[in-house]
Amino acid sequence: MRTFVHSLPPELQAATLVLLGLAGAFGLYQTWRLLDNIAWIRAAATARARSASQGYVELSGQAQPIPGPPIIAPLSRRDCLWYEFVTSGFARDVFSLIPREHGRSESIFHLEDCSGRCIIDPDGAQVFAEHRETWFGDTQHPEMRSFGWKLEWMGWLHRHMQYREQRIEAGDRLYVLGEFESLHEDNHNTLTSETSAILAAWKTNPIRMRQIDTNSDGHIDADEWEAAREEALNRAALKLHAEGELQPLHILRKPKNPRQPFIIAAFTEDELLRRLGWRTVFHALLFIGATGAIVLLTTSVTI
Amino acid sequence: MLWIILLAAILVIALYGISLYNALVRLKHNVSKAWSNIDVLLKQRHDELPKLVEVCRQYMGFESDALERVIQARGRVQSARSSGDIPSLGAAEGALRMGLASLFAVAEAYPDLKADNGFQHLRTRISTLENEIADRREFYNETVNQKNIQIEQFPDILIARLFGFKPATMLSFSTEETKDPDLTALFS
Repeated sequence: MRTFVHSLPPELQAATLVLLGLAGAFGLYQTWRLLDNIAWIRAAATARARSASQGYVELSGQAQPIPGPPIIAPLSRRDCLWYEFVTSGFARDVFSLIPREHGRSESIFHLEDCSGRCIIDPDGAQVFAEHRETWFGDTQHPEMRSFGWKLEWMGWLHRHMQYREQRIEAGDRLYVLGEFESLHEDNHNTLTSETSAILAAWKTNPIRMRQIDTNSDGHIDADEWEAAREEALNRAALKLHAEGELQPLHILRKPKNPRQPFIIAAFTEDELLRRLGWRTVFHALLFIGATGAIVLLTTSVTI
Repeated sequence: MLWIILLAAILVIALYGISLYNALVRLKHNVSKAWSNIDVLLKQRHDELPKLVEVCRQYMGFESDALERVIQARGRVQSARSSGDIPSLGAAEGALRMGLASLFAVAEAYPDLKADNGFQHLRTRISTLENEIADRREFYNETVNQKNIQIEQFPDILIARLFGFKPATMLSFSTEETKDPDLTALFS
């Protein structure tokens, strides 16, 4: 290899060294980023959706849809909860793949564990999906679904478009690490409507209205009505608590601290750590290999 | 030439060591955070209990042993909380839960107390807090367990020993908690 590089024109020799330098820097950066992600994952204990504390938490459960219109993956046309796709054109003249289109779902979905539910907002997440497919065709968008990777990779020989898609589907195992927040807006609405219902019932009940009219002057003044409203509010809260309807709305999203990774994976924590570990090894080897190659070449190449 | 490649490999190992250290630091802080999250709820419940006792006293008078047990256990929980003594807190917490279970059982014999709005509200509030404390205790123990395993396994143990990371103590409520209250004795 040293002889081969030595035989190249000086500009190409320099370009080779720049490329190796970039590969080494990329390998080193990725090694550190992946090791840091692994450290965050290993340091987090799995919380429960019902009782997780506010802030950076790890949850584990099952992916479930949120009621509403279905989310359809644009390439495979499959029903899913989250998708990401890339279509690339294969340019034969320069033997490279040219990115043409890229899309990513930002629709929310549920994580359900043994204790409750949490809304997952995937915007800005590193996603490791279970369903990943690559297939080929001749049109900008695929006309048919994948047949499975073995057959489809043969399409690479005579088709010029490549389609790649990854999806999270309903029922997939789900691991998430991100910023957890509990919202109480729904509670407020539920409580207000329940309070209104109680007050409306009282208005039609003359005995109750006489009780509210504490000074018995035949009119409900502002203070009396305020006292009645408070009592109705307390009754509504008690009723909703007893019925288990006063549940906060939990949401997990991208952390405000940019150093904390936001991860969504359709794997168990152990499986995710194993995959990240192998990626780390690959990038560390890339860094060491690129450094070695630069050293090997610079000892003989003169630019 | 070989030494530069070795240097690159050493750099990768150093990064790995830093990531292990960072994971242990984060775990240490996670244990503190998990503890603080329990402490917040213990404080809230501590503030609610006198209101419950006061409401119960209005109907039961001062003769109930259950009330006395709750008051004593509340004091023990508070002192264990403020000293950060986790084993004592576990025992006191167990006694308080037992006392509350007895109190709610005794309250069944007082229909006026049961019908009191304030009592119903406090009962629901305290039961909710109890459930949340139980969930957060489970999470605290999970975090402690994770830390204790990590500082004892290779290669984390090297970093843990080098930087003096110590195991944390689990929070376990006393076994009294799991016993059902003796209702016959309570109403005799």
